Amino acid sequence: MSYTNEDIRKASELFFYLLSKRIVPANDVLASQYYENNEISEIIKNMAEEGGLRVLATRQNLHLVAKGESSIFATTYSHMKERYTRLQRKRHFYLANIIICIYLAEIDRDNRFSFRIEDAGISYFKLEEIITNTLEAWKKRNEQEEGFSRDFAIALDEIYHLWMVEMSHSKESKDGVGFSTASNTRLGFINEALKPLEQENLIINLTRESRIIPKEELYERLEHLYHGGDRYEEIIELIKYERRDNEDAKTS
Amino acid sequence: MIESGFFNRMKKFQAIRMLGTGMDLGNLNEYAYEICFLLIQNIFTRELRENPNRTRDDMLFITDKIIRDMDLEVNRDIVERIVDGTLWYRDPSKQEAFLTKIFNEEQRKKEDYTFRYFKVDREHSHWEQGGSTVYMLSEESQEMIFITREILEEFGFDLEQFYTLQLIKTGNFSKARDSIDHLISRVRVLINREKDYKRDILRDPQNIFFDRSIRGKKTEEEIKEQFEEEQKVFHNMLSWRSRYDSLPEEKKRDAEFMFTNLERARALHNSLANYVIQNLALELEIRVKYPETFWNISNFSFKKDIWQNHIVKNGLREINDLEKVVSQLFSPQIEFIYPLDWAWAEQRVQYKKKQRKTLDITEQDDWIFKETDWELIEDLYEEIFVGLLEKGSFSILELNLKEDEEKIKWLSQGENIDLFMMFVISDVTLDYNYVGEDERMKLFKRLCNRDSKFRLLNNKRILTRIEDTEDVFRWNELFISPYTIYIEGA
Repeated sequence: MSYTNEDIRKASELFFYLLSKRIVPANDVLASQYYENNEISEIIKNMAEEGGLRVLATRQNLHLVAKGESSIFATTYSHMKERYTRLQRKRHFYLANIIICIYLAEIDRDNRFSFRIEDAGISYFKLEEIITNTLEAWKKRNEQEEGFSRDFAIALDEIYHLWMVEMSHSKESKDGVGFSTASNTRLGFINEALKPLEQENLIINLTRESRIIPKEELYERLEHLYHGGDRYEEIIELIKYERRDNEDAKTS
Repeated sequence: MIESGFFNRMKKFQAIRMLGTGMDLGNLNEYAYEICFLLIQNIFTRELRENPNRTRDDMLFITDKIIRDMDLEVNRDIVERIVDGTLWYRDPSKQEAFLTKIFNEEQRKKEDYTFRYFKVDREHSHWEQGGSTVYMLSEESQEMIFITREILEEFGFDLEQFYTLQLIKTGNFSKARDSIDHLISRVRVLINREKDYKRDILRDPQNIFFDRSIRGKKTEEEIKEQFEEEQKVFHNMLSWRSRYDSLPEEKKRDAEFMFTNLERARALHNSLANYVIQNLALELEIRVKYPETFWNISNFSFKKDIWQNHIVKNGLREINDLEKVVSQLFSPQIEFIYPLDWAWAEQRVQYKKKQRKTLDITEQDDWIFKETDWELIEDLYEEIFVGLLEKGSFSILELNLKEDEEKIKWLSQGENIDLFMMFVISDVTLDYNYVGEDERMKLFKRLCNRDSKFRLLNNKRILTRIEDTEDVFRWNELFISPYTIYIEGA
């Protein structure tokens, strides 16, 4: 297929616009070209591909997201990672990852019908409880089952210690509204771990009411990134889980 | 023998039965039920009167007042416990919905039923501007209100209308007024349903098939016909206005009130019709333009397939893998490149040191922090907003032409300049209905109240740019780069 100069110009315009805005409403004049013009959407997909990016087109918004490790661009998330490069602090980063995953799992829905997004908000205290339960359960299995993945399990001891021992329970904030966001408290750390989502404008962090509310845009990303069959394969491939190893271990 | 429909009827009972239970209020325990109901009723009235003061803080205030009105002793902790216990089930910090098990006659076993007494009023909760959550009644608690009135919810909108009409015909205006309130609340419920429905089908078109409860199974024709019928009844009711002059004096006041409310109900009803028709059109558009969305059913979820059944169950090969799962959620960030000419732009702002008269402080016993002189700010800014209104922009250089006397006014309070700098620092969309801390909005609101022509600026976005000019803004100690504030698109 051949593109005209005009196509390329328009596509670049939209691409850089997306790059600076991250999420653009589908009815935006520029964004609508992505939906209406095949040439333009193809050029943009190619440009994204080269930059290690991915375009998500939902009925309401056009998103531009990074493609995991292959992206040449920094993200709010990779900024967060940079803060935890020191060995000692690495486990903070792992814990933050677990918290983000638990949050996503809590708000995710198999059945997307008739639920209200604003009701899907989760209280910090509830999240704290789930995190504690998850870590406890892993810890227990790690002690009992030999097959429980090795590398993961080793770091688990450190993460467990960090959460259970080193971090204190929440304190009230100084002005008495909400809780203290000091990062050596559990609630404070949850707040810190979810910062990238907040900066990305995917959640509303109501610290004063100790509640985190997912936004429409977060559901759009969840839907596109984790709900599709192909994507599922891709992710499983990424995390290199090999069932056979475990089964062999059991049968032998 | 268990009748069919048992499950649904029990749901209504449970909401009533569980109200105010499970909290320890000491002496007030026996009043918990009544206090909670009064709280719900208070919120309902505020909702009806379109009063957005329905946050948790407002509830605390209302509850405190209710208890005092009942001549009971109370402390802050108890008030909080009551409000949180009406908002949430069990431990308030977890913010969970109320949960109970009810026997389902069709499944032949107990089934979970969750509900809330209050739900989020999305429209009034300006979360993103830093506002608190505004609550409204859930359908469950609304039913509790209706059940205690003589008209039950099973009476549709049309019956309610006819009931009102009868009251008007018999000259029972004060009762008709109550009934119109009820009518209005019904329309509002229906409007909210349509708004939610729109949001739902935009999010997932498959809701078109799942959310059929909304208007029953009526066809578009039937729905339109129904609206026309209802419009006729309104017309019929309003035609009684012609008898107004023949009414005895003591009834005139009631009648006047009632007809004003009736006019409001009719207007609301019109907008309901609008919402419904728009949604019907949207449904059609989705069916025609995006039929693929209906068979695009995803079988995977992050929660179940990736997290629960995979990671939580089996662990990871390596802890770093978690990062790979999460990282794709984020957009790329472009590094900020500092434009050179910004460095050259002169942006020094020095405030004139305010010389507070210490004398005042000693003389006044109840010294209150000096409040912003809004009258003055309005005076000063009127001109700027007129500029925005008429030319779409206003340059700070225009202020250079001011007489010295004017300048002194500008410099008399830091706020006067602060406000201008606020416009410079961040964009803002003017919103007449804004409730919050942003002083620019306060200013806008006040100006609108002063002169309604400023309302034309509602919803306009205000931006700024540095002017490309040699001129400078320099008053004594104050230097500001030559900025222009302007309306987007102007």
